[in-house]
Amino acid sequence: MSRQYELDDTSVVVVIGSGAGGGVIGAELSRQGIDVVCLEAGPRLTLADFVNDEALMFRKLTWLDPREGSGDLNPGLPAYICKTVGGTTVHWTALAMRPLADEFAALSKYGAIAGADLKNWPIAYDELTRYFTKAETKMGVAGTNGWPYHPGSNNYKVLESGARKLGYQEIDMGHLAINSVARDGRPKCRQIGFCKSGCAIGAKWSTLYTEIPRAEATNHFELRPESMVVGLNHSPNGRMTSVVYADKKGVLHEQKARAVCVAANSIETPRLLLNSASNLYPDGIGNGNGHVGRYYMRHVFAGVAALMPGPVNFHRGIQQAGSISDERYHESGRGFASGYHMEGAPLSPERLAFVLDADGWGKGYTDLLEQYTNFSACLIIGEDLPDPDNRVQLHPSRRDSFGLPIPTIHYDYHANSMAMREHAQTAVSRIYDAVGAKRTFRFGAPPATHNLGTCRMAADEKDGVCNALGQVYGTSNLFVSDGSQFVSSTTANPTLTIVALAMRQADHLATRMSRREL
Amino acid sequence: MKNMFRISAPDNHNLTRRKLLRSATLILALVTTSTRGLFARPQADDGGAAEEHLQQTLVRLARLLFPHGALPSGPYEDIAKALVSRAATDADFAESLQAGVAELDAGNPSPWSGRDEAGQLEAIRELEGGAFFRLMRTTTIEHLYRNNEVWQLLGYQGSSVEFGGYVDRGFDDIDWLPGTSAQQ
Repeated sequence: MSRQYELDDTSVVVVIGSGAGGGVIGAELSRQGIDVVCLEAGPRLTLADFVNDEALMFRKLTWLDPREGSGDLNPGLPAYICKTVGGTTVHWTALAMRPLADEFAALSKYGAIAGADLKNWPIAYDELTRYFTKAETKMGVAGTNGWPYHPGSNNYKVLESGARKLGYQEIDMGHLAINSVARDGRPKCRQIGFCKSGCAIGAKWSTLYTEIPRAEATNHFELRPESMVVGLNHSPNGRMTSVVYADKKGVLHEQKARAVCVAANSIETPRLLLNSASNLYPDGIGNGNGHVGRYYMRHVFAGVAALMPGPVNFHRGIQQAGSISDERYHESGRGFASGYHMEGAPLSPERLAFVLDADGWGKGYTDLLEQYTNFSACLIIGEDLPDPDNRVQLHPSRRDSFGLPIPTIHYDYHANSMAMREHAQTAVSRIYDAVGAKRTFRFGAPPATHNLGTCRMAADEKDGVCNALGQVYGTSNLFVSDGSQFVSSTTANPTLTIVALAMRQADHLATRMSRREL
Repeated sequence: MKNMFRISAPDNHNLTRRKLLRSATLILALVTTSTRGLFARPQADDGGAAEEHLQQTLVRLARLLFPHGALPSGPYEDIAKALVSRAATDADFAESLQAGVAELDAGNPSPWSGRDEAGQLEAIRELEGGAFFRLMRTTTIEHLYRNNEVWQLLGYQGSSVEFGGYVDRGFDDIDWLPGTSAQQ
């Protein structure tokens, strides 16, 4: 039994969310002797709950509370986030990739782009680098710290072979936060597949079975699962005083707080700030300049499937089948800013049937599907741009079961993304053609799992929601601790950066607390 | 500028005005708050013939949408059963299902189920892009490609944790690629 705190204990830091942001900051604070209550909307599952069944695990892990999407989004499922202890670290494919220094200086590197409000990150890259190293060590990232890369799977080998023929150089199985050797009390990967359905043996890093139990063992941390935060209370001078949440029976509780870290993913984090409007914050906390919810970014995300001349069996093994990074670099003359990675990824029979041709049916179509074992597939992940009109807002009339406005998400693809997508899908198709693909098929993006930027950092209060340490402007003790802080999406999968920022923020909080500033 | 672009918007693809009108009608049927329904109201005294007709039509339709010659009818019957059972508790859904089948039957003296395969396929093509077509395509995919019999037919091996993963079961056994070197 871990420590339990009273609701009126004003000494605790309340962390909202238990994933890459919240789980990490909770563990880092408690490790330094700071008392933490972590409120997580989802249930606490165990490894025994993780079965190799995509459809079943989708229902168990997904945040399915009502939301509405508009623009280029699936209206009913506009974005994918998790509602479970561990958050998206249960679902992620574990690619722990560092963004490049340039990618934190989007405005300087790419110049101004119409339809986007580019800014540089207000953080020195050297400082981030230090935390990337700490994060990689914490997470056990293969290919760092002397841990070997994972062996190449069939799907990887197809891509690697084609990429080498075309002269690509930066090809590897990826910096995966999956144990390539037994370590940290967790086993080595057994190439199970189903990484996105929760790793059934715990070889993949997830806060569910790393940071959270470690935090509990410090005796400075209490996790309250199935606790949905509905609002923040504050003093007249902008100090957060308590967090209101509903337990699984819907009963409301008020937990007093010394400081509050919000890490509820880039849809629920701005929603909470907006839903906590008050006399002091008439448009929502931190929204004095109207930035909360804006600059919603995903990644430029699409795929190519290829029918190969022989068996690939891409369903076997680690789902994230390597990455090819040669195209990530910004180059003038390509018709778009920034770049993208090509990342191998399998499709289940169901996904293949849905995406190979979004309207496909009939004998010709099932003849293709029956060649399932001969398919290979690859996703492209590219930098998305911060468009102020892509945003999370509160629905004017629809309410959830707590009576709160549901979030709406509007997103339109930027012309830059369309040009990049075309370039990237052509590049992947060429890779497949180089190894004798019989046919290639381009497919569009499912609801995004990378949700970023809706409470962005800014050096100047008028440009964003929080400062370079994630502290929300106009408050003395409220921090954004997840991917909402991102100023730009970078070309890299976001989790490593989220973890690094959370570790950095924890150090900052601990220092200020030791000086009695918080 | 931004609104010029759409990714993966199949509803905007290749749609005739007639099909658009039809899907609009079906969407209206789906959102109507009517409490009437095919099975929610007392059945007409037809000895279950209407339900039988519906069931048979849906089984045939599912097979023509995703025909796998080697597959027995069981998996296709499961799809029809799932749709019919949802219709039994959801009057609006029942109405839209009925409307979809009526659409298939329309425009020809013989009901869709009595036509030859070419005629049946032609009628499905007429429905492409509409709400009923999308419902049938989605439902069929979700059932068929989560079915173990179908997985075996496709060579998809599915759950592996109980066998110790794929680490010793061919995750890296590709043998037809020249010059591959897995990362060490």
